[in-house]
Amino acid sequence: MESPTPFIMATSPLEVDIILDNIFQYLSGRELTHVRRVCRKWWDLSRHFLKDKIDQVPVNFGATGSNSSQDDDEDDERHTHGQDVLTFNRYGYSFLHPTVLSFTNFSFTNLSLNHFFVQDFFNKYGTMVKVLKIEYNPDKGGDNNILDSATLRTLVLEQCPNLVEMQLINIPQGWERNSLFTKDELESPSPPSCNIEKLTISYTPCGRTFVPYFIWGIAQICPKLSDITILISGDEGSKFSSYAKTFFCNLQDPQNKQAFKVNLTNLKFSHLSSETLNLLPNSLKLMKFEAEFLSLDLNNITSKFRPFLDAQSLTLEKLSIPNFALFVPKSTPPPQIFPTCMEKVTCLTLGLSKCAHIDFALQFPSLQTLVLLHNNGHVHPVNLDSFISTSPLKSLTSLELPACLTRYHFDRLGSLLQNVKHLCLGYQGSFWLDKVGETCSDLIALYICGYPPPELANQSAINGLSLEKILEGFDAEKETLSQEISNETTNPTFTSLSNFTKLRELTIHGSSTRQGDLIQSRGSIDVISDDMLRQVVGKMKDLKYLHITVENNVSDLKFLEESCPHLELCNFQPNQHLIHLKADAFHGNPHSTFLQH
Amino acid sequence: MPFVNLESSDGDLVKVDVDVIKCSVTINALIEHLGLEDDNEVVPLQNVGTETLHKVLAWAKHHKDDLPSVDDDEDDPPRERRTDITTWDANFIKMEQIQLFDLILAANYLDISGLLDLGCKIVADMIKGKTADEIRTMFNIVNDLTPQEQEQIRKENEWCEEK
Repeated sequence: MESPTPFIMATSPLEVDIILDNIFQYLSGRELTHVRRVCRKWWDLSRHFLKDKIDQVPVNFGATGSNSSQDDDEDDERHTHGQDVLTFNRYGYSFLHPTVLSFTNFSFTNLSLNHFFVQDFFNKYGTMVKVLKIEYNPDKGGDNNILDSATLRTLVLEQCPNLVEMQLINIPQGWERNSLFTKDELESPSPPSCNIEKLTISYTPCGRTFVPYFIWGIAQICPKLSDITILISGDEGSKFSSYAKTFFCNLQDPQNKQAFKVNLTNLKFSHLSSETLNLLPNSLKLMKFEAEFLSLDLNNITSKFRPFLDAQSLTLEKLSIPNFALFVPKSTPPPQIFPTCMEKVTCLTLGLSKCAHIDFALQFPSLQTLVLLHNNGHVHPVNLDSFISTSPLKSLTSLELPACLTRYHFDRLGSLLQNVKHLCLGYQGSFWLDKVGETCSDLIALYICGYPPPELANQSAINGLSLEKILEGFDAEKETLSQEISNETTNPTFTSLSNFTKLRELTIHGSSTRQGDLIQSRGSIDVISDDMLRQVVGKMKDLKYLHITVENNVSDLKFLEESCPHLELCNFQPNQHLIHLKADAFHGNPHSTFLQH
Repeated sequence: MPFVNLESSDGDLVKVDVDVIKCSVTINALIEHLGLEDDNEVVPLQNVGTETLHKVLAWAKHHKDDLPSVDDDEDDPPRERRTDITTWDANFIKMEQIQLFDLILAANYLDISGLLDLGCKIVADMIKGKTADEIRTMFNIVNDLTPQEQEQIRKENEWCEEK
């Protein structure tokens, strides 16, 4: 009889793979991080367990919706599920409900993409990634070794073939140092290529001379690239000129200097100067052009800004220059920097500067959204006059106006306000209510700032705007006046916020009062009662969004449930600094740029 | 009722009810392989000492009427294994580490999944809450990781650890 094959017995169960496997399965991810340090065998064997462990500690990864203002149903869908579905935790990633996994929009913050878990994830699920945002936020701590060029290459060229949009936000340097491909590869019969259409890069410029070359590299392999955003953070942003030059030169077609290799339609920069602007070829046919800081020096250099805009006038739909510095020779009259007509522009954001009068109705006949901002806090009354047109602008539905307009300005605003439905106002004296209330009682969204810009706070004409004043339109000056004439008119009526009965969205941001020479934020002394709020807001039957960022002593908002059936009481805590009520994602956040101040 | 004689590595013979030891895949296979018809046939177990064999049999006798465990789908292993231990098992498994290790090795050799799982759960409990150093000391394991490998593990662990 044959005896069984002799079995070589291990002396310890901890040397047998199958037993260790069995043991490790009972350990949590955190315990496994200790186990993998014990010895090489344990390290090897614990690896695949670590990947599968769920500790429900989310680390900066979630399938998120975009933060763009474009609302669509998909966005809501993503928000609803959010991290509930997909968790990238400290020990790996997991899908809690794999059947509903349909995300295309991924956002990583402070998670190293070089890490093997993440690589494993992209190997398995990379094909579904369409929008990818990779961000480093030093405030959130963690390893800043997030991305290197080799990982980025694999990501773009191999793992995520369906990538359409890529955002690289504040990633420490490394990723941009090497091109995504070699020259030989580009000249090979099947050169590398990908489908990226939209690229956003945000970075601090110190030592980043490679970014323009990186973008050039992307342009070589992304024939569909049409939307480029380059944001430079920090004070060094103004040094962008030299980078921009390299960037533009590299994008140019060597055969034809007036053409770009890629078919750009959207261009956004944080900083542009006369010099860099002059490098933009007129052959561009842009739909969106945005420059957060644009400085045009007309003293020395012939500016091509006007010819550039002229060339875009048939295609451009959005023009945004929130900070516009214009340097002109003192002796000459202010120049007309905008074309005679840009018929397709529907959205215009403009920092006020010394340019010539703009007739919005003639020059921007299709305008729907107009945002006028003070330029770096400097206010020149003359400029305001030149911006406030008297021609009616029928298409305009959204308007944002800077702080401290005068009564004269409001008198002339009528034609702009005619069809406005969304209005956002910087700090104003209380008389604004009369004019606005009279002209646009159909407002559906109103955003009021109750605190003057710091650089204006010293002006003696500014008396402060308390929450009470904002809500009731109550004005001591007016009251005195009405008392004097009370013999003749028995019931003086003030225009109050309650006149805007069609409001669906109301935001009151800050409030102020004058105490001696100083304008104070009202803080704790600014109290409004339940009654007052009821009188004003209670009449707004359609109100869906209410946000008051001022401390108040409203204690009970139940009455609002009755008078404003669309409003959902959430996040409300009596006596807290703000009332923030929201029924649904009506336009997301209120249309405003004041929130950033 | 059929019986089988098991011979421990110490040379001791133990007569066992086949019904009790059927939980061991290895012994089942041996019985089939050797074609045991006669109650006096001996199955040699070179790797299991007498003391350990008695422990195994005590466990097997207690669990002989257990329902056979349903094999988990290989493609989708459960993320969280059940870790509860019955009182009987808990009392049964109270022993020195050296005995426990022998029992686990025997369970592995005899392919008794229930007993192997029990032993592994206990070892996992011993590992919980301990650092790598403590684990090495407890089990007398030599650290054969090079400094480079340790650095690599440290980096891999870094983003996993509490901020």
